[in-house]
Amino acid sequence: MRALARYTTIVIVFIAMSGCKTTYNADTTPGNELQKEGAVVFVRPDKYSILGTRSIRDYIEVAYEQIGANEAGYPEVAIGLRNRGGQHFWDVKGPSVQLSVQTAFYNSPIQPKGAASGPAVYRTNWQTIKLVRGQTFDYKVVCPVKGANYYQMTLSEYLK
Amino acid sequence: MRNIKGLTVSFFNRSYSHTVSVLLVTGATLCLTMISGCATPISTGTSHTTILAPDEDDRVGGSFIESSDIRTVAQQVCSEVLTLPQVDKSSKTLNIATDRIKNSTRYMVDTDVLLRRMRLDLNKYSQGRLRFFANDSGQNTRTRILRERSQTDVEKTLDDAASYIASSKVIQSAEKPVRIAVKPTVNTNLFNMNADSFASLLRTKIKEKAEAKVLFAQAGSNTAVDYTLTGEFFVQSTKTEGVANTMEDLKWAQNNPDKYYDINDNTQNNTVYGNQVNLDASGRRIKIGPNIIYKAIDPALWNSPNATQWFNIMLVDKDGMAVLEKGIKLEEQIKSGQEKADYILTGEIGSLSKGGEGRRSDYVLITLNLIDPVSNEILWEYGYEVKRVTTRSVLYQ
Repeated sequence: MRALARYTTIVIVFIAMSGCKTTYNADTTPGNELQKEGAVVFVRPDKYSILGTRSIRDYIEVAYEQIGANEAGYPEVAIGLRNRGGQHFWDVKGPSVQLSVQTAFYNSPIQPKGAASGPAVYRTNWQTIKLVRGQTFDYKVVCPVKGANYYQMTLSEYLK
Repeated sequence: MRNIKGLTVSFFNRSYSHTVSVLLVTGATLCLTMISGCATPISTGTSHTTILAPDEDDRVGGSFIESSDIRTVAQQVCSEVLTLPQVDKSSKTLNIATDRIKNSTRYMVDTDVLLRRMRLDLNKYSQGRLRFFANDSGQNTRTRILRERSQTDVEKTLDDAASYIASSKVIQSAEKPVRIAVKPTVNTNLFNMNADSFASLLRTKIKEKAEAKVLFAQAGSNTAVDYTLTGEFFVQSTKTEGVANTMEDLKWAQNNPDKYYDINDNTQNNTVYGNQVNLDASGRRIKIGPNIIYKAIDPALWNSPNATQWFNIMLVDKDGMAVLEKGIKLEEQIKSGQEKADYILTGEIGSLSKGGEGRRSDYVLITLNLIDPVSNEILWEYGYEVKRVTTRSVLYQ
């Protein structure tokens, strides 16, 4: 009985201790994951099926990517986004795609640590692009903050 | 041996039951510990409302512009405007006046949202190189502040004017105390404004400053005086300004019965009808008396005129010549400030709408431009277009 009482006490102390903890450490993004991210990234597909995914990467390719400064010296990113159509035997046609694009500008290099390792100086809203099959869209973003010459563009499925 | 055996069995039985109890307690403990440790995050969801990112599609339907379009326009306009050579290379702060964006679509939407969102970005990223004028917000308080400041300034101006007269040669070099009469001031193009109170205030201040050097005659007395203090109350305007005042109106009507009252038995239900002489000298048959509706005469007369008001004070000698004269600004006109605007930012939303078989589509074109107010030239023009089709028409507001 004494042993039982001892164990019960230990249990109560255990429970009380675990209950007292009100905060927990948040997980941080692994640095090696961030390092892998490039200047133009696609958001992970939101749907997986037996044959393929709903990945925009399956249909969209980056035709060109340029960073420079416009005539007033503001950073300007120009990117050619092309809907190359279906590339799989189960979908050779491919859909017209609606994209949401957000561009973040940084005033320090995004590599080697990765773009998300520091705060963006300027971030656009999620801008909608419609790409019909075969179309190349010349997407251009000007950052209203001078000197923010590093960027990361995130392409996602249409936000809904 | 049996006994010993029995004891042994009994000992083992007791030992076994004790172990089971301990295991049970330990198991329960671990379960409880795990349960309490499995903290689930608090529910941040609300029962009836979902928070959306401003760029997110709300799935409500509709084929007109969305919040994401407004944000995209604002982002692009901000970058483009700041890039303009007229803005980027300007050495001074540019003042931008905004005009309401014309809505030429079939939707009743508040186009000020677009204007405000653009202004937000431009103000944030121009870093003080662009300044906008407040059109609606804060205007009542602004008027009150300026009026109050104006009142404070009047006191100082009256002080200055009194010092000017008291320290003038006319007063200071006189051998005997200068005798001054105060003559009622004249209203030039201001009506129903009491200028006499200013004259009285000024008289008091002159007396305070000049002390025994001046003597003021009682109002209305025929005492012989050296000078007359008089003035003129006028407004910096090409037309007559004033405040509609029912009391003044009735007083004037009583003093001028032939001019004002309709003597042809037109009184009905205690309401007297008469011919009102309007500010623009036109005549008008209106109600006067107990049921007077003064706003009907001219709504602009209901409020104090927003014009710069002056009080011109004069010291006139016996020959009717003004020996001293000074203008006092009593109230400054409250301006919008837009006279300083370098450019006008405005635009238009147009659409091409179609509907049929339960589907509706809209092609929307948003154009924005920067206009030079002097030359009326369009300095820059921006266009944003979007086309949407929906099976669910919605109400936009």
